[in-house]
Amino acid sequence: MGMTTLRIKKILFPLLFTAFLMPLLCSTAFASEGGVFTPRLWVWLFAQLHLYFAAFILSVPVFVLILELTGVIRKDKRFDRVAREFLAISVVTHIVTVILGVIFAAVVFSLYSNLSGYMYKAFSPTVKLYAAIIIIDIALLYLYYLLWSRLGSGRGKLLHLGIGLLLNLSGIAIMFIANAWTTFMMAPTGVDASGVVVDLWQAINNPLWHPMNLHRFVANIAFGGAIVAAYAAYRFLSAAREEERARYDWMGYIAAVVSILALLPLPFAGYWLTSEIYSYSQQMGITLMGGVFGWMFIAQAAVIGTLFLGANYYLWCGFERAKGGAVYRPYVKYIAIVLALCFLVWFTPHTPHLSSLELKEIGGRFHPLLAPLGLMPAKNIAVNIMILATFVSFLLFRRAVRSSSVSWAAIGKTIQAGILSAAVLNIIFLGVYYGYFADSVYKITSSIPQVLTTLFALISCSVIEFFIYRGGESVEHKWGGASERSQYALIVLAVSFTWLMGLMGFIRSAIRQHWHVYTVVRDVSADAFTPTISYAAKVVSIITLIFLAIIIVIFRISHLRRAGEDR
Amino acid sequence: MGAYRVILLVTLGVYLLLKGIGFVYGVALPSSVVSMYVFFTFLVTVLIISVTDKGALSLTTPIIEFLYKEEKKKLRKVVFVVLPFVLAFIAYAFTKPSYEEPFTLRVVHPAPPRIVNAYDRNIELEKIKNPIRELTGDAYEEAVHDGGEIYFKNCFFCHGAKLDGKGHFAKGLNPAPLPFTGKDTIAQLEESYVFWRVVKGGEGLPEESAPWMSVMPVWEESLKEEEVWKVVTFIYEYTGNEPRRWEK
Amino acid sequence: MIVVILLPVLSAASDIKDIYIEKCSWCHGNEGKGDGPASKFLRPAPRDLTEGVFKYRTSAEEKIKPTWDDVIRIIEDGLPGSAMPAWGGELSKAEVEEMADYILKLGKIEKPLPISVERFGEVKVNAESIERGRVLFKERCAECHGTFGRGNTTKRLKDDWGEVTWPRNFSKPWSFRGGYTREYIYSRITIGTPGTQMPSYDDPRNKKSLMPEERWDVVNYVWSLKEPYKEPRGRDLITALYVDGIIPDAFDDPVWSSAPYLSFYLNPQLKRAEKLYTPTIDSVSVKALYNEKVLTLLMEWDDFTKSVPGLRGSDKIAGGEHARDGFSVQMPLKGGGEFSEDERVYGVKPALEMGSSFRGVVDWLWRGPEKDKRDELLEFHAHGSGTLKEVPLSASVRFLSRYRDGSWQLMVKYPLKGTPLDFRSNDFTPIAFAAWDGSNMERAARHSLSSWAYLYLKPGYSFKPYAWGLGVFIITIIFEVVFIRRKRGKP
Repeated sequence: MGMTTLRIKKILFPLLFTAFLMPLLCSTAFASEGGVFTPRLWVWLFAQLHLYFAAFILSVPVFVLILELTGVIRKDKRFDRVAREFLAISVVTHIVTVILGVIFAAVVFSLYSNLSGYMYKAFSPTVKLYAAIIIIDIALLYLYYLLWSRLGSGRGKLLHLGIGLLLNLSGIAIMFIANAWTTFMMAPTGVDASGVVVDLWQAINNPLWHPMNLHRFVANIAFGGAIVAAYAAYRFLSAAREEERARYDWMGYIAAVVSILALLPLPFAGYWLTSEIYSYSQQMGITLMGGVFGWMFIAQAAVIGTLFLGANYYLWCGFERAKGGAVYRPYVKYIAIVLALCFLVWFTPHTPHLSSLELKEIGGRFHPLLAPLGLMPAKNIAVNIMILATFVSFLLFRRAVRSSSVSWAAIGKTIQAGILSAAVLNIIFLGVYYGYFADSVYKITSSIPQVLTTLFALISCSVIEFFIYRGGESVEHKWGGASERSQYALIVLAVSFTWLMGLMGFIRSAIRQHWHVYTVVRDVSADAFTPTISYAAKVVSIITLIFLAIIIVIFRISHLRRAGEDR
Repeated sequence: MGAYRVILLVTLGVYLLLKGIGFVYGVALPSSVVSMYVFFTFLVTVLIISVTDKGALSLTTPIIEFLYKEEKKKLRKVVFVVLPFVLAFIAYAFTKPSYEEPFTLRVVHPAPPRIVNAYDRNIELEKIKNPIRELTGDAYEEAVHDGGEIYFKNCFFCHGAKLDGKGHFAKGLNPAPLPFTGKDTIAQLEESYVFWRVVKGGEGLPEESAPWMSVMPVWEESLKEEEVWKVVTFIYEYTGNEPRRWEK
Repeated sequence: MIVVILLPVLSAASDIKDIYIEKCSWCHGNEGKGDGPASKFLRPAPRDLTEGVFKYRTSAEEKIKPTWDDVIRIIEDGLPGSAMPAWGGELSKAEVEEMADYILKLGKIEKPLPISVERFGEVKVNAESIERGRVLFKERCAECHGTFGRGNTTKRLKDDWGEVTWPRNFSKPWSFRGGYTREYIYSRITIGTPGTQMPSYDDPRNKKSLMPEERWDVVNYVWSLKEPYKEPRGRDLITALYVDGIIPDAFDDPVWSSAPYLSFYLNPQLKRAEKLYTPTIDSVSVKALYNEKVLTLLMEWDDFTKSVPGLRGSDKIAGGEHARDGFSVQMPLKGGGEFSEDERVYGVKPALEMGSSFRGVVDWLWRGPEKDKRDELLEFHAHGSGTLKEVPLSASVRFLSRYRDGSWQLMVKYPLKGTPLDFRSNDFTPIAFAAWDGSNMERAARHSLSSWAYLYLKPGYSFKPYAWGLGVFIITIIFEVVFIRRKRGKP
């Protein structure tokens, strides 16, 4: 079996590669907008690459610290080792991040001196602070990494954890400062009539700052987790020894769980950000959701669907890693069908692509049957149920290797099923009733009780789950037995995440349209137009490819170094 | 039943179901949506089957056997001869010049500008209110009726006597005039937005809405501001739609 | 929720008069006198319901009473080709019946109502019957309907309310008020159209009256007159086919038979002042050919009259003063650098009618003949509303036209190079049409026009798809060879 799949891979990969990459690079539309390398493309390229790496290195210390702490509490050395390996990857990427950041700054200052001059003048105290914290951050990172074994036990360990905490705080501070600049460009506050910043704190504490801080913090963890999981998958697939396979199977599992847990609340953080954008400027909100970027959201929906599917697939593949999991196999179909239905609603466009004949037949842009599915209430229902379905996959995945010792387990499980069913019904009712029948005032606000329903179901079921399996035995199972398919799912997860981040980042920044700083500093350059969707998608794809290429090189380097250390 | 047969049956079933829905309903589902649905069904079916080792094997084994088994030699030879021709034809079919007209992504409800210059002043759309809504009782009824008269003297040729976008001159228009009935159009919009669309017409649309396609007149030129508000109120009242509001 | 459920119940209970006021009064007036606010803008005008005249009834009765089904059908299905929409989906069956009663009451028509005219001696459609019908039609109907039934009347027609009317155009069956069925045509011939100059051919007082079998022959002839290509099918791409050789200056040259017609609706101009509410030209059919040097467009549109101001016959039909017929073809001004390469190839459109400041249009206007003046072709450029200006006609743009049996045909030959357009094969060029019927007093802004369509010059031969096919062919073979060699290398 191993041999044959290997042979198929050799045929399949070159074919897929040619199939996807060739048309992408051969396309003429890419070069058609005033030469290939416009100033905007340079800024776009380096800003996005810098952001990818920054997101990665900011997220890794978060769960390194959590893992280290878990290791201490559970007295399990495996956590400590995995945490340290994560951190090793982070150290190498740190250097790349700084280099990219410097290039990005240089590009912006030279190509958009007008904007950068304005921003620097407005935010110069924070720029200095930013630089200072970066130096502290790097120092803390090296301390944290280099002192890992020296401060291995007892009080030393406590001190080491302290350094980790400081490292995280400094990382978060860096992100908050950079977020203040970015969000100020979208929602400038604290400026006078001529556009000069008069109140620095207000400029920083603009309406989008905290939604963005939260959204990026959660997304970074999901993204970092996905990248590390892909790294583990890569190491797993290329591992020669059994123990190595076991280690990376487990590492991939931990990283994937971190990623999936962060993925679940992410749509809610996105809601908060979007609703703040709406209330700051209705125009920007409509541009985002209903205007020219509405089409981007269809692409986004498809990728988010892929993410959910990939995550679920990984979990499903894990059901049978222990014998007891076989009983959960039949549920896969049902979860998949629920997910699929939600996904179809999720990406049904409100105004679908129509050929001219279809346009005439339908008599307008809206198809009478599909149009209701294209509206926000339908999407809200879909995404909430998708989250719950993923949660069910996760529960079953955990149960596959656990056995319960409490007498009321069956009752508990029935209650869980009841809560979940009630939650689904409530979500559908809220969406359908307030979305289509009630006064439109409640349309947006109805999403809040839906989210609360979902959260309640997640939390209450988790609590019940905890008590059902507390004190229960963990069924013996061997790490390292994961299927190759599940590891590919992890890689797909990482690639989709990267692409999604690129796309959403572009959308968020591009809805300013003709403005550098919305309504304050106008973009007067030749590139101040909204590029076509295909152009944007191609640029994002190419940046994703570059990022993944660099990451693979880094993985190889750290792989070799580790191999050396092991020896 | 072989794994491939299951995939084929499920995919085909969903395809027929979607086509059937369109057929029964009388308006076919857009082919782009149908192909997305069908592709996704295919994908999910493959995923479900491949979750277990056994399922994954049932997917790969036929391919492996086909490629390596001695008994399949004859079939293999045939496929290897035919395959280049099939793929070449697919490549040809994809690249041959298409006679389909270029396809425009048109945004039906684009973002409105913050400030509209109309009736010789700057109007901030987010602040402007419909003055007709402040009237009560008979005064309101009368204003709505006035709106109806204005509608039937100016708008119904295209937007229809039933406000369904199917006026007697609608079939010549591409894009078709929007209906006001149903929950998709004005029910999704604030009144100030509708006001903007009426006052500035097709020419006032931003680029992404392909203003060159819309022949909606610039009503600012022939209707007074109050008349526009009256007709806006009328189309809401007649269709039983409520304008979108952010608070009550 | 309760309100939602109760709404239909409440509305059903409401008075039929209220429904009439809500839905019908806008055209037919509060008292049903056909004087609602919209009535001035409609032709045919909304019926004065108090007179009780039903033009599209099927009853043979002398006393102008319609059948019950006639009234129901008109309310439920509307009258195609007029502003009367189908109310079937909007009103319930019961409401439609109540409304029919209400309308009969307005017209002071008392029950019982008559039944439909009996259709004796039906003759099936066959060549002999059509031929007999053709002879009868020419003799008894052609005076008003024209030899080929395109409605090209030889006299000015008015209805009982003094409004000018045009005969039905039998080549466009979609405009038949009662639907396109042979039974319906038979009823019309038998009964006539009350209120208009269409007489009953069953009436012995009519000198031209026909026997039932003869009527069926005429029905079969009328049935055969439909020209289905004239019905717009929603396709917007006019494909110009490549011709190796010359394209003769002749409408009937066999070279044209290879190119199919594509048809478009024309709408009256309602966008800016001097609006036209009652057009007479509602569609145009277009085909195109091109060779190395010339693109040739052939346009055909039905016009009831050849309007030649100053000519006596023409004056008579038009009822006095009238204008010249006209037709125009509009395309973007692609030659002037206002369109990028992409916009050129993908056919980005300027604003319809007059373009805009940054995307101009070129308009070739054909003006029909006038007394002592031949028809002519003029060229205009425009960059937005009010900027239309005449320019000298681009070198060697030529045209020819003819009016025959109710149809204008116009052929325009554009050199591929040397006009403001610079046609290239494989390009999509936006194109729009406009028409003026002089007898309907259409001039300047008062005219009908189409939406934007595309003109596509289909390449005679293209190398690229074959290269792709060949490339994929070779790559596949390489993969196969590599695979087979690898396999041989292994046990």
